[in-house]
Amino acid sequence: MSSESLILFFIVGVFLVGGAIVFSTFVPPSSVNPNKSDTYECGIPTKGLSWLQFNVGYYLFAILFLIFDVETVFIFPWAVVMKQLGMVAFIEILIFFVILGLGLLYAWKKHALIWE
Amino acid sequence: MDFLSLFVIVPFLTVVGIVFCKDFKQVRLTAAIGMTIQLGLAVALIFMYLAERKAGNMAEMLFMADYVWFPSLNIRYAIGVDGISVAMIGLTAVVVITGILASWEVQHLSREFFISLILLATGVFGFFITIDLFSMFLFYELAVIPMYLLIGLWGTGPKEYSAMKLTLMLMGGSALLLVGIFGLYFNSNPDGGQLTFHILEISKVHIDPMAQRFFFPFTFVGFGVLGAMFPLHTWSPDGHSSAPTAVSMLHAGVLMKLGGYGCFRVAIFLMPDAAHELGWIFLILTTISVVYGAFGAIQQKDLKYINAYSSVSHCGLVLFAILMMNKTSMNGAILQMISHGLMTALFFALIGMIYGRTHTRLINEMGGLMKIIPFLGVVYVIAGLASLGLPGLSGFVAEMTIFIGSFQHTDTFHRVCTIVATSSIVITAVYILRVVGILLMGPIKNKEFENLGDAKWFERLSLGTLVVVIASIGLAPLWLSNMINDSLVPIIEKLTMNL
Amino acid sequence: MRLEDFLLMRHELLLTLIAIIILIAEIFTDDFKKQGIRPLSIILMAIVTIVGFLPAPTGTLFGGMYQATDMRLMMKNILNIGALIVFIQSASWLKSDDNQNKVSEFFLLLISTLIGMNFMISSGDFLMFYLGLELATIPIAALAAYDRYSNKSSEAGIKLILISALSSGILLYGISMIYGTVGSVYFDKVSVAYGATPLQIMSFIFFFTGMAFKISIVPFHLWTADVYEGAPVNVTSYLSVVSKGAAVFIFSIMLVTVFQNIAAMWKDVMWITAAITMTLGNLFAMRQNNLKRFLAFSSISQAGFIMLGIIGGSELGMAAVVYYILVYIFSNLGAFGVIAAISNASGGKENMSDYDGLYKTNPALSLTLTLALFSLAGIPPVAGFFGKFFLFTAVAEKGYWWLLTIAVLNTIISLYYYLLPVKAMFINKAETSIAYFKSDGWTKVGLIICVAGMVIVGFASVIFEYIRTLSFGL
Repeated sequence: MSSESLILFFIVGVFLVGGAIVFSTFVPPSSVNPNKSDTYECGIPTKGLSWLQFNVGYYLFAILFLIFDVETVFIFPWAVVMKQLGMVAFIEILIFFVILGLGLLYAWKKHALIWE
Repeated sequence: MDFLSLFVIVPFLTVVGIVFCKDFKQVRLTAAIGMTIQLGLAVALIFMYLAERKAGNMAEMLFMADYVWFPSLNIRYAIGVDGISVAMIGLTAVVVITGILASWEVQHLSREFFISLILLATGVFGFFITIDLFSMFLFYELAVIPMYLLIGLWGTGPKEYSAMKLTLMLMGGSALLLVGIFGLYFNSNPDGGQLTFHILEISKVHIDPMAQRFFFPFTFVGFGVLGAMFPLHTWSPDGHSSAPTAVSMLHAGVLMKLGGYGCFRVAIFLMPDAAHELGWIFLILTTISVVYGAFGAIQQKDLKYINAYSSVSHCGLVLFAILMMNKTSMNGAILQMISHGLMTALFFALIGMIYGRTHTRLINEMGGLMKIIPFLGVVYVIAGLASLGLPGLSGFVAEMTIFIGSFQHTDTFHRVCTIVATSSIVITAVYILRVVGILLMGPIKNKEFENLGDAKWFERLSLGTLVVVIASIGLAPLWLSNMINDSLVPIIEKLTMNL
Repeated sequence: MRLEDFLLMRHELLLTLIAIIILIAEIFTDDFKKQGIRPLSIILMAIVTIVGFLPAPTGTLFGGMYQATDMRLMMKNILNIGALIVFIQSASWLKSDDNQNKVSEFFLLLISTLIGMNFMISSGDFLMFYLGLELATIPIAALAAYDRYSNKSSEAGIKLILISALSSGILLYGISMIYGTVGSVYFDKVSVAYGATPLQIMSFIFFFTGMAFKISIVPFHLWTADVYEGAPVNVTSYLSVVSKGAAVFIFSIMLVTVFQNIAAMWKDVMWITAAITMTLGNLFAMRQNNLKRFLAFSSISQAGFIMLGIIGGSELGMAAVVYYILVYIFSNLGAFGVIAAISNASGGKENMSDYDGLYKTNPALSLTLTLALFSLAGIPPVAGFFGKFFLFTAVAEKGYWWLLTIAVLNTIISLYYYLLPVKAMFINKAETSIAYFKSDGWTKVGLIICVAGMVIVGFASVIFEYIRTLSFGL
């Protein structure tokens, strides 16, 4: 595909999407009232500020999970070529594990593993 | 160690000395000693210079030294003096020491005051000794920036506004100047060799006229701002009137001369073609400065404003004479710089002293001061007479030379400009005599003034020095004029080379 | 891979090593010994900075993905100096009660961004560049939100992470187009094959926009002021100096190497953006009262000045940019150091009007700030003058006279607002100015380094000349 057609695609895309938005503002009947501009049009009105503190525990677990998830991704290809690469690869993955282990220790020390 | 660098090192050491001083008395003593040494050096330099010339050394610059600073850009710390810079250094040394004496009783933050003042002086001395555009620019900025604190901290009236205005306009000038310097640098070797900031080396090259036309206005306006060229003079009245005594003295007496000297040494000397071609524009502007400044001075009631406008007029005359571009007028320009430097320093010192006693600078609130403070009164009259060009004082020598030089041009344009500029002599006489009449003569207007004391010893010393120098230049102008003339030869040669 | 090859990567490896040491120290020390981590980190960082200057081999690794040249090593050393000064300046701030329990995190996150910057500078292909860039950006967002009990700080963190995500997205889009048209992500291959087909031009525009966000060039600068104001002072100083410096380094390297074929085009783009950046940054800075916002806008206009050197595009321009960043590190960190010291001592006073009459009470700090501001404004005798002069030389060399004129006039505008704090400190009278306080040892050391740097780097021409000799081989 040549670059001209890509640019054409880009321009057409912009016009289609933009055109749809512009079009939709003109065509439908509009009714404006204060309820419409609420965050939720139904249900109870919101109270207080949106600067709320919420439990970050979920995120901590998600991040810890992610780390070890990525670790497996990393270990699979290593395991495939381990025999050819030999000792160097072994040491390298060991260093990797140690750093990761330190991270886990850090999380442990910071009480990230306790659900509060 | 070369001799000229001492002019930068001595002030620097003085500043260091002041930092370690304990109290106000030690500070001012250190400052005075340092600047007296500087004056001694300047006198020695004049004698050494004359001796060298007598011995037949006809080099363009004497006492040259050259240190490579940034080799890859060929930036050097190159110094050297000719008769013109020697004269300017002498002027600076006199004004600085008298300025220190005039501010003998600055008690408020005295340490900072003297440090800033001497830093300013360092910049000025450095500017006059250097012949490398980079170091010249560096010293120029170094001389301007302490002005901000000097006016802002120790000034009077709307000092913050004036300080900001002055600093920004002068630095604006330096910014334009920077463009001009780069223009010279990148055209300094058309054959593709090593580029240079060195003034003498650039002067040997014939810079492409197209480039000259582009960069000449930048350079001339850049320096012209400092020389209070109309319409960029507006910082001068505000700045001078808000500044403390010594700063007004130094600024009007010396710093404004940087503008004239720079226009002469850099703009005209290095770009003669453009100077011939575009000079007329600036000639009109400077003629306006001369007359406008004089008329402005008539209008004012504040002593400092009167003198500030008169400075605009006189400094306009310097640029005017430089643009006439012949030997006589240029000689006059240099003489006028020196004469005006001394005169205006004397004026500002006097005004400071009078203000220190009466606490007003409005002339119609004062009167009959001659009876109360006769010493200051007499000196004021002398300064006034020098300013309006009485023969026997320095002002006459300078203005006479300028107008004789300008009249050598026979075309209508130059004639008209000259005649218009000459009319300023009359206007000067009007405003000087008006002030003398109101301020010094007549009955004593304010009874509180009757107990004022006359000048103290340091004030007498300060004023006396200036008066003696003014009179000696007025009575024996030839040695100075000859010293300048010798150095003008190569410059005039360069100016007429491509005509 | 031979063992000597590791020497090529010594900056990154050493930084990783000290990060691990700090992490181990954090894990295996008891709470009451945690105070030792501050001096430990600073000393380790100092060692790394010094080791970085030792002579070392140059070369490429991973088939050209990683390049170590003298110039790039110099850039890393400059960043190390900046980071070291930030470390020293943060020491007293980290001692406060709020920050006691997250001291090592501050150092760890900073070091990891520094590792990212180093990889970014050494990158030989877009992949490595992008990895480095992300590693250099994301931890800073965490740092911007470091101040746990301040809404503004969290706001700064969120804004920073959103903006960096957006700009990375744009950047990546540009890179993908480059890969699509050239078929390689290696710099040397791209630089040869890069032409001026429409798609390639578009890819350059995307790339430029992405980088413009990182360096905060107008019109992509709007996040800067909020983030700088919200983040803790020490993080702001890091963000405005080291982070920006690293982005400028790699950007200039890429422009003169990877995009050399379309140099005429990007020079036009840079001409206009540089002029707008300088002017708008200056105009906004004039109206600021909060000193952190003030320095944020001033740093925007400084970015415009730095672009002048890149536009010059020559060896001189390259040297001028690197030299200016070095000067800028000392000057800006000097300014931020004083602001941080005062903010810590006076309970968060950061407005210009709070500084009224400061010279009477704290003369040493006032003089340092004055010197730093003069250096930023480019006034002799401090180093900023020389830095700006060389940038101007670089742009004048190529004959961009009008751009030069705009730039020099902008220095005057900037002088106006740089004089405002000076005016506040020296001239303005205040009924209650900030009381005299004694700075602790670390703050003093940090400021002394900055002042010494500002004075020495300018006058000692050897530094510029050394950088100049390096600039012949990027």
